[in-house]
Amino acid sequence: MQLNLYSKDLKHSVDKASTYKLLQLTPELLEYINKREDNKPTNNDQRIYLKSMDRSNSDVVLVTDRNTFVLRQKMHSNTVLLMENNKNNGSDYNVFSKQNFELELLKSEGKIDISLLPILHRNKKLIVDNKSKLHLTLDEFISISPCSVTEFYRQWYKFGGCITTDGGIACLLSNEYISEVLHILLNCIIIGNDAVFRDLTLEQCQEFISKEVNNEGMSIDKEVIHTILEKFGDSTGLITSNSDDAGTKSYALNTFEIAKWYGIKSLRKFCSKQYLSIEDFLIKWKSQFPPYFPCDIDLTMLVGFYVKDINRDRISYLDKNGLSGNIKQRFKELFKLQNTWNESEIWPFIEQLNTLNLKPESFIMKYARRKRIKKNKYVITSR
Amino acid sequence: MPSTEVKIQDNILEHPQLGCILIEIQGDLEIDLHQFKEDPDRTMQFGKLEILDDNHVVLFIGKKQRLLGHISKLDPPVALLKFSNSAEAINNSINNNKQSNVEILRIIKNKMVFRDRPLPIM
Repeated sequence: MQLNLYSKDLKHSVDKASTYKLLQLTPELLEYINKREDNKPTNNDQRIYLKSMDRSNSDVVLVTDRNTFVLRQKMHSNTVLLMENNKNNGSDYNVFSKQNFELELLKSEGKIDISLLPILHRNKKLIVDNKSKLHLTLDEFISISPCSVTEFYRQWYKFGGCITTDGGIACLLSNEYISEVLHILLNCIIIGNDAVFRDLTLEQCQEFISKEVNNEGMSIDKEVIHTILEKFGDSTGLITSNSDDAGTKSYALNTFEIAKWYGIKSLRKFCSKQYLSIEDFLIKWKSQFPPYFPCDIDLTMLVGFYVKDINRDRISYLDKNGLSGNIKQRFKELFKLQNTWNESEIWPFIEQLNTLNLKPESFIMKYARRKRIKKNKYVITSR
Repeated sequence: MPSTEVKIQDNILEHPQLGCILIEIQGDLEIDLHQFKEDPDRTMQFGKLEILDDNHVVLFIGKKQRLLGHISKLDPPVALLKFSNSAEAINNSINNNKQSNVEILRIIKNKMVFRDRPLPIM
């Protein structure tokens, strides 16, 4: 078979109304498109979006309903011509584009930027400070977030994401508000549900809380309770009352996550500006829970939130968001607080700066000294 | 942080095998630009492509050179994206989520690769 190849002057006579790019598919994305071909999407499922990574970064991400990929431009020096069939003559082909690069997809973890969201406090007022500019519905916020919907919801409730009852504005619950509602909910479950923390539905929890807080002349919105259940609970499936019922989502409260939340709150409250002995801290931590709340506590649950004085067995709260973004500076700041750290306790404070994904020990040894004190136990000191 | 939906054309996987050809030549393809001077939109024939069998192809450039090549399977395949750059398409995309200025036109599974030096036509 012989084909005639035609071309225009591609440098000066390009179709300015449209440009063409080649995108290297990943097996996952190809499978996704194949599935989509079999089953045409009717809603937001199975759609593909291109989004900008964030305000400061010009990277573009491609998102499906489950995955996020960063687009990279892979330049080449070969001549790559795209040709299409001339409709008037089957054996004639015209060059319609010349490609200097291909777009490569790198799978990445989709992240959401909550820094500009308003904060919802107990008095139900949205605090929109000078920095907060986003006043979006949840759907609008999802559409601008550079991640898939699945990844979005995985992080949204962990951050305490919620929507306002009036207007459905995406916001974050303040830490104090989360602590207060969680405390009330736990008290209610202990009293009203015989301390059974499983098979809880949103409606059931709302009923428990309403009974409790109505006496005090306050109310807590359903959306807020929903966020608390999603943040501190694991979905255990659907509860159905009869065969026609579509089912209601049920939750089992995660006592580990709850104990950790109370621990961080205790660290902030009792050890923010001072060191406290570990023994005293554990007593204070335990005292924060509602009476008869069944959970075990251990200091290792709070790794990444405290700095430990190894010699005197005492701890102080440390907020990693307050540390420098420069790795050398961060190590300096950490060693200024304590000159010796347990390896497992320093790692959460530097992990996010390990952008090259090195092994923890290799990364640490680039900036500090690693000394073995027991079998499989190391301490980190400055050089 | 703008976002746009990538539309996907129907039947992108079942287009005819030769509906869209991807040719890769190691090196530059020089076309005599003088011929375009009078009319930049003019289309001219620069060569011929002969498909010998399922795997072997020959590309004739002008009347003096030929390149031997092969058909290579792309694994995984590449998608051909079309970006509409007209102001109207971009405005539609910004103002209306249902409109998109990006679409996947085709999935290309093969390309014709020419890696060797050109041979003279005797």
